[in-house]
Amino acid sequence: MKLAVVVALCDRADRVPLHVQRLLEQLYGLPAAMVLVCRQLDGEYAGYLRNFGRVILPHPEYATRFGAYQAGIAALRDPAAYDRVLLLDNSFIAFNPSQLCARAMSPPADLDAVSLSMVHAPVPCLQSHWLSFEGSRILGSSAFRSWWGATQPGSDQAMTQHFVAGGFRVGAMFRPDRAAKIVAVCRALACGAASLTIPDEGPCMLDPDTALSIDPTIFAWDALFAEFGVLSLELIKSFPYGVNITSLRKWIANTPGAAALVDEALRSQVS
Amino acid sequence: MTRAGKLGVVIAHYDRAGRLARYLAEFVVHLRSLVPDIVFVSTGLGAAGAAQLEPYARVIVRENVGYDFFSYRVGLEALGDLARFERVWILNSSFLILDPARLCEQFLGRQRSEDILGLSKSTDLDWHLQSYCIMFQTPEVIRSAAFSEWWGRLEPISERLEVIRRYEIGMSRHFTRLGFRLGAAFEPDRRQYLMAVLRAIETRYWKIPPAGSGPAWLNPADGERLNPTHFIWEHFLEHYGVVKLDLLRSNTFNVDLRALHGMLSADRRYLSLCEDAL
Repeated sequence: MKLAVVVALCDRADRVPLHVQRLLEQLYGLPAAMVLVCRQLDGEYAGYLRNFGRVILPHPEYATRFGAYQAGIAALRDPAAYDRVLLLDNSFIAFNPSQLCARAMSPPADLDAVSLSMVHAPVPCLQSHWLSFEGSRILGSSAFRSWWGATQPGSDQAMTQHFVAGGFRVGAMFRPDRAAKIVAVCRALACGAASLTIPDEGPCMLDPDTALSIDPTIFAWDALFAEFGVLSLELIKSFPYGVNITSLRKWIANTPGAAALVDEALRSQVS
Repeated sequence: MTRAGKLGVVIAHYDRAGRLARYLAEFVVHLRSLVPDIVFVSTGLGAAGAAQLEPYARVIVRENVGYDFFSYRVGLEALGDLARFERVWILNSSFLILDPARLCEQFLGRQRSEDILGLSKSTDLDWHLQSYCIMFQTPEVIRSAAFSEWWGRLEPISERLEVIRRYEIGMSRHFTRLGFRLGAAFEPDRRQYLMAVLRAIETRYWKIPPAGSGPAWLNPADGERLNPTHFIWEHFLEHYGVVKLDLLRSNTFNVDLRALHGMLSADRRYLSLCEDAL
């Protein structure tokens, strides 16, 4: 397995946040070519990153996740020479990097593009904070070259549609079971992000597959966390839709080191 | 207008440090403007707190045994001849009273249709009125043999769950079995119960089996099994101006309290009472 990893570090800190350090150290243990794309190449920050791989600075107009990925893929020169190209950024915290990397190294075999999580409906949308392209069929394709060669790559949804239209199979490692789906839908209903018809009497019907059309990093955060040890920083920072993260806050407060890790990660975020 | 005539009140107080929270002092002062017969029974109130309350209530400090039910019993005995009251209100210090006037107006002013009225009810373990706030509100029940028998046989129990089983749930069973009508002032509607169910699921207090297929069915009636003071706390604050202190302290079920914290922060008096109580 010939692996390349592109890490997009879109933060404003003058030092690499601890959660990123831990993830990089785990990734460094893999036999992989690593490219780190960042906003600045000054001092201690870049010096630290150079321990792990080739560090490049994207042009200012590429200072987005997609722009950084694009720059990193370009630095690989020939992506088709790899069996797998993994793209990730620092918009999430991996509390257990070894758990995440172990799972990520054995993605579902029947897919060409695999994200950690995705929204399935109304149209498939891979979430690109952790995304791998699997095998020569997609890595050597014109669809891959045309997408990552474009100057303005665009959104998760547009990217997913691009590869689906090219006949590639897309999917996610996170496949919530029925209970996780029901919890996610109830969470969306409880915070008013979804609605439910309430009959005058008797029970209300809830379709668990409604969960496939809502963002799992927000509404299924606990199942995602349990399986991969990963949390979206956006969830912790701004609890989108007013989603309830009380138990998560308690866990962070009561787990040694977690609060400091989260605080530093939040401070390093580009607003 | 609050209908407070011929009302006797027993307040059961517990504080680990023997402190009198400001909200409770303010509540007693407000209550005294409506009711002359107030007994405040504490399992450890300090001298300063007792002195503060004595102009407004008879204060009894007793040994810390038997939880609030035993304080209720001591207080009822101290009220003397209960037959002179039309209503007897027993309540404890487990809930923060942010708006004493609203609580009295809403709870005391309610038209009577039951013999015993709780602020809230639960069907956890069995149907019962939650014992933190209960009113015996007809002369028939206050003067009944069932009443004197219930309070007369009550013993101090030091195990909390046993107190809940034998006394909180047992009291509702006792009076129901003897034909008295029991009810709760706060009766959630289907939408409120459904919200309680959604919260119980999303906090994973209720576990969903991973297996199964097809649609899931959520029954609002299942919300009756959930503690309403936690799962739909906002209605207690809105209608009665009260919040359970254990919700603020430990939030055992991990319900979302950001709206509550927002409301408390927006009102300096509420925030101050809350900080003082905690």
